[in-house]
Amino acid sequence: MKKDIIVPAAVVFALVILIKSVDIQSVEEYYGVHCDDVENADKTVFLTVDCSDILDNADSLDENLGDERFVPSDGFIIPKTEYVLLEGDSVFSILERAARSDKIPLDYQGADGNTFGTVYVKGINNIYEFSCGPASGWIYTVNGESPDSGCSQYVPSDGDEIEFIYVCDYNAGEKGEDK
Amino acid sequence: MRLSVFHPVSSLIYFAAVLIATMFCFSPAIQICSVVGALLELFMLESKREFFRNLRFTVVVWLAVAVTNPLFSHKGVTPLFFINGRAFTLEALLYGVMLGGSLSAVIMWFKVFSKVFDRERLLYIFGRKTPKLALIITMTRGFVPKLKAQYRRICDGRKCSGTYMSESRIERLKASCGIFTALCSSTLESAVQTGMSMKARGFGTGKRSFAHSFKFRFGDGVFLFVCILLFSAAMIYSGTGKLRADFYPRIAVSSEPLPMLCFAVLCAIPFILEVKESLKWKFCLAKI
Amino acid sequence: MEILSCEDLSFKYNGEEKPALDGCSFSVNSGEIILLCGKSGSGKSTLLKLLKRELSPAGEKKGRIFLFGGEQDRLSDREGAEMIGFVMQNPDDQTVCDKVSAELCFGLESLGVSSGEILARVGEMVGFFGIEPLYDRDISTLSGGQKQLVNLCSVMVSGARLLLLDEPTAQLDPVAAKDFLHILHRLNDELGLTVIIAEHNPDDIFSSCDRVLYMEKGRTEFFGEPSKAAEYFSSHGLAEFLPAAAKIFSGISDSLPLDVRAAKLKLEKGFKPDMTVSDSESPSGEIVLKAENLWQRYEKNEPDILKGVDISVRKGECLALLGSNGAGKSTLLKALCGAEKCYMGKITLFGKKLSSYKNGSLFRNNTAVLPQDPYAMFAKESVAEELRENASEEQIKAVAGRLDIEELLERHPYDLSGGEIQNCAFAKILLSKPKLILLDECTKGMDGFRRKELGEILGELKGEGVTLMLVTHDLEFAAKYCDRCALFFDGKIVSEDNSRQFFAKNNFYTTAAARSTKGFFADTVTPEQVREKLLAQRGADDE
Repeated sequence: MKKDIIVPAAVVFALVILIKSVDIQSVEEYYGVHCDDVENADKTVFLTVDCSDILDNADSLDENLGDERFVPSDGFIIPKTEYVLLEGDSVFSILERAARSDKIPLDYQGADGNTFGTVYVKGINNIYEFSCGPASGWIYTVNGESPDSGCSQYVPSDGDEIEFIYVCDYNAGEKGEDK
Repeated sequence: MRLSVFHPVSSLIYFAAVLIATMFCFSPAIQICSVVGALLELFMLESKREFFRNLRFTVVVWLAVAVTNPLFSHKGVTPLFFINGRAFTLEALLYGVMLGGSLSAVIMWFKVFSKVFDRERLLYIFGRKTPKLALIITMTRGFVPKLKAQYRRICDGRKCSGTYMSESRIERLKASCGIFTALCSSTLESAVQTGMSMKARGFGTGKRSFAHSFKFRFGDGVFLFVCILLFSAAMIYSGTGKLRADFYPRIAVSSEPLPMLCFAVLCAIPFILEVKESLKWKFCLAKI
Repeated sequence: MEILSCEDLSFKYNGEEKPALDGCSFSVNSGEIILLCGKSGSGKSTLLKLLKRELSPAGEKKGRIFLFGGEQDRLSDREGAEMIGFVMQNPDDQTVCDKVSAELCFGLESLGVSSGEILARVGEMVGFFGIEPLYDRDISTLSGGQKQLVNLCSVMVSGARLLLLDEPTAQLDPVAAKDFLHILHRLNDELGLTVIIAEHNPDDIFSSCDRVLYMEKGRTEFFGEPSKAAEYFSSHGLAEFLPAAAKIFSGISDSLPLDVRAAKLKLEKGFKPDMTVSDSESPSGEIVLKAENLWQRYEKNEPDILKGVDISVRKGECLALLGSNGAGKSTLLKALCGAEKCYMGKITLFGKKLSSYKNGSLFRNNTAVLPQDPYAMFAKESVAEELRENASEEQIKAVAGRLDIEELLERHPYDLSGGEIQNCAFAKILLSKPKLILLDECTKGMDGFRRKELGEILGELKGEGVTLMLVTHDLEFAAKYCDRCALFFDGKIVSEDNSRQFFAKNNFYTTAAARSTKGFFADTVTPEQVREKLLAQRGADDE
């Protein structure tokens, strides 16, 4: 008799866990994040999301992305903007906050999804890795240098300049891929 | 003539053409034609109960794929809602619908295939070139029911001696081990006998031949020609991008009527033949 | 024309002391039917297998075999396979394919015959056998008799001119066996096929064969016409090989009738009718097994197998349950021991409800069942090992002596013949000291001698107060050794009586002795009972 109860109980338990761990937000809720006012903050950083490299390699770009909406004519999805740096922020959390407040689609692989233990940015504004040639993807720099750690591990300090840059061939530059 | 009357080679080529087009032309138009064609043919071939059971299974597979895809792919410009901070987009959902459609079309065509391609046809295709393979197929199919019957006999024997009726689990497990051993040794024994029977009937004295044959008739030629024509038309069009569908980041579908028509006709051939035959039966033969 | 002859043929299996064949010499003419007789282990199978080169066992062979006018070795592989057909005892072991159609084509496909010719020859032979309805079926759905017909047909398709059959009907029920032998006769009559058949039950073929070959200890002791063979068997104390009609007159008259018709004529000519009825005892003793209104079916949507069975067995009696194949006799037996559940009805064993026996306690020194497939009872490497599971060495020795299986103890169960394994399984059952034994087709595959031995042991057990119930096709056995018979038909017991009355009452479903004496003697159903009456008449005449 005991065994008969154990199985359904386990199923119910698993379902509860699943439902608890799933958080569904509507589009408004998701994008309803507002960045704090920069004027009153102690610490701030600068964020740029730059895909201007695509403009030089327009031939290899996925033809479905050939639109002003995805690749702005100046090459900047987020031009250099100042954001508040909060306690516990990483490079990635700043990017996510910025993307959500600007309603820019962001797709990433979670820190538990890869062996490096860090978030990997797959696509910003529907521009994905491999969208512009087989060696294309997003990298990031802080103050013009590629850090060794991943974007969800790197803790920026006051006044840092963070740049997310789309490169069409990451072998060409010496910058290395974002991690 | 209906599909199951054609020469195995022509019907095999037909199935290959439909399956290749379904799997490789990634376009909603093609998928819809393929699903509808297979559904109609299945409706004619299967009993109502069987048909609706299959249909239910296919719809479940379809829905599962459609819902699963957007959970893993977050591309697309139209988010519907966000799950744990990831977008569940309309584009990914539709892509899933499309993928599910393609999968269920393939499943259904295989169902049609198994209905039309009976054992004789299958053996003919494999048997002519490699009679040994045909022999393995038929021997395996003969062996399994023999094994089942033997298992039942041994179980009966053991049950009757009371070994199988103990309520203790360990005892029962031991008893089943006994059954397994007995089954193995009796199987080996009868395999030896079967081998002797084969040898006694001349197996291994020379090259094996193959009994079943089918005539390649004029109708087969016409059928084959039409199939290949329609298939190449559909493939060429799709190769030149006239049957194209892109889902990411925005949905862009180009479906020209002509190539779509070609493929639709290709998929509907079995159904058309089926209807023609039943009409013929209704209006001419039934009056005999 | 001589089609086959053996000259001083001897054979010894590898690693055995005694020769299996010892100087056999005989020759067979084209178009003959030869009946091969002999006790089990007399070398019948060995002889048949040696004649078919592909099946020849490994061992030391001496002497010569001539086939189709030349030495056996001069036949090519192809000719050997084509012209000599072999049908084995177990129908399941010979089938290779899944479908009847594929099975029939198998031989010709192996010989590389062209597709058109294969289908033509198969079509012809299927027509001759009248098995068109089976052509498209799966072999697994056929009955044993149908399988054996398919086996014979597939051998004939290859163009066999000499047919060797090793107890082909041993696993079949009597009706299927008759059908099989009937086809064999037609093949012989209409195609002039030469047939050599080893048979354990001589009744159906003895009178119609051309010559009888009797083997003993690997030697051909007698080879001649059936009437001569009957005299030989009668004078050498081998009455078990005689058909029932001849058994009646063995030792009473010089010329022996071989079938019921001849026996009837002989009775009418030489003896007086006598319609006095012998006394019959009505059964007494406590009821050991009682079943009331049993209903059973295997699947929800299938028809009922048992439709209200009532049956009771008394202590120390032997009840035979008769009925045609597939009627559900075995199901009833399984239901009675709880191996199959009934959805309605009540079963009482030794005064207790069946359901009150838990954990197999029913089978501990209480009830035992001999299943239809006795091989199923053996899972160990040797018979002795299996027997040791529930008995001591002395007990095994005693039982083995009683059942005459001492030599079989160290053998692997699957190396034994059908009759031998049957005895070993019976030994295993006796070792559990049961008070009630249920036997399912216990005489299947046994020759006359083994049957007689088994019958005597059953008699002894009855004397010890053991109750027996057996399901069987074997009317002769039931008439001779069982006290009561019950006919199972349409899911019910439709008639039940003392064996003597039961068989005397029936017109067709009865023993050869009863058929021979129908309307002449009132209730003689075994050859022994007829003989008793005849000898009594003789004695009266002499005085």
